[in-house]
Amino acid sequence: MNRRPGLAGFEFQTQSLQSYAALSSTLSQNQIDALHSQLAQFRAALSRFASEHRQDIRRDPAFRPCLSTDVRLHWCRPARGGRCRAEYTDSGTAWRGYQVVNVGDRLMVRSSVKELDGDQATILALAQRMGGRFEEQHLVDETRWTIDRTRVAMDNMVIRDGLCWVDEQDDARVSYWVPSAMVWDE
Amino acid sequence: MTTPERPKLQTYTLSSGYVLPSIHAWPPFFTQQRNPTIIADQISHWTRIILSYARHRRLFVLRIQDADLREDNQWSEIFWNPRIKRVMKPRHLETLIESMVNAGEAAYEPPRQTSSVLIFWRTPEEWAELLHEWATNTGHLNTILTFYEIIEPEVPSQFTDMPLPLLRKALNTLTKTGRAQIIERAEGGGVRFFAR
Repeated sequence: MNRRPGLAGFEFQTQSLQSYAALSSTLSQNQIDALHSQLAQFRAALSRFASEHRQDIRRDPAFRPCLSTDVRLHWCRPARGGRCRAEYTDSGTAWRGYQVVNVGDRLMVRSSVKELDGDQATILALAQRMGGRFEEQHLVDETRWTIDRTRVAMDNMVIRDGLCWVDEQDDARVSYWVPSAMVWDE
Repeated sequence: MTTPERPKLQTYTLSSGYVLPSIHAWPPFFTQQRNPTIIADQISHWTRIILSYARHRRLFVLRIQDADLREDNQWSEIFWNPRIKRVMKPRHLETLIESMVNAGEAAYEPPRQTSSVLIFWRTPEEWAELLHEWATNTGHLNTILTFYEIIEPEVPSQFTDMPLPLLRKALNTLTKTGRAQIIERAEGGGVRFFAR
């Protein structure tokens, strides 16, 4: 595995991955390939982060363990299908809880201990497809949820989780926006 | 399935040269958010814009009625984004002002009301240092200067148009350390600066 200065700790334990894979007779080669590709992307993202923030990582004691901690990858079968999850955990460093999650056909690194639940994944995927903005009706059309069900899900996204921003000056009265679906110039 | 190109949010340079950050082109930025983490993030972005724009334009006072105005207002370039048809609402601005006051980035002026503030793109302490430095460098130590001479000088200075209440706040910090003495007169106040 290609190592870079300061990244000695970011070596993924692919053996561990394989042993997990061997335990499951139902894992398809495609899923394993997909996961490997996710890991490669995640590793690239971490490399970029580490090289961009090398000074901070050196300076900040909270980050320092990252440079020497083994990173273990666990992977779980999606409960309801359609979603692979690679979880990145180690023992109590600043990196704990970072996740690679599939949102639509996009790969995201999520910096939270909590994993995305089904509603959140569905809604974020919709937002990605819609270019970052959607309305309640789009979600109803997508999911066939009732209005009440949809509103509960959106309240959770907006108030509890802080994953969507609200726009009350929209022609549609209210629209929802997801920052990660946009490219930010600055 | 392919994902469409993600929409790009860009900075925008106003005719005055001030550069609005890309978040200013994001429609929900003009609606008060509902999640505590996001609210904190939104407040910090707005505060940074308000303070840096005020510094850029040398604006000293912000009022709630500066919200929801789409023209003819010194603040409308930041509180109104015609490119996305979004405007700052008064209730939202009231919250922002309150948080700036709590953070020491603004002060209600006059006191005992909450609709108008002095904004501190320089704190009163920073203004105090500049005033003292200026008095020292221009040979004004130990002589009486009227407030009027400081904030409406014949040759424009960094103190031109500074509101009197802000000047007083700044001078008050100097009087506490004996570096200035405020002289109250019927025809208007003045100040005498002393060396350290």
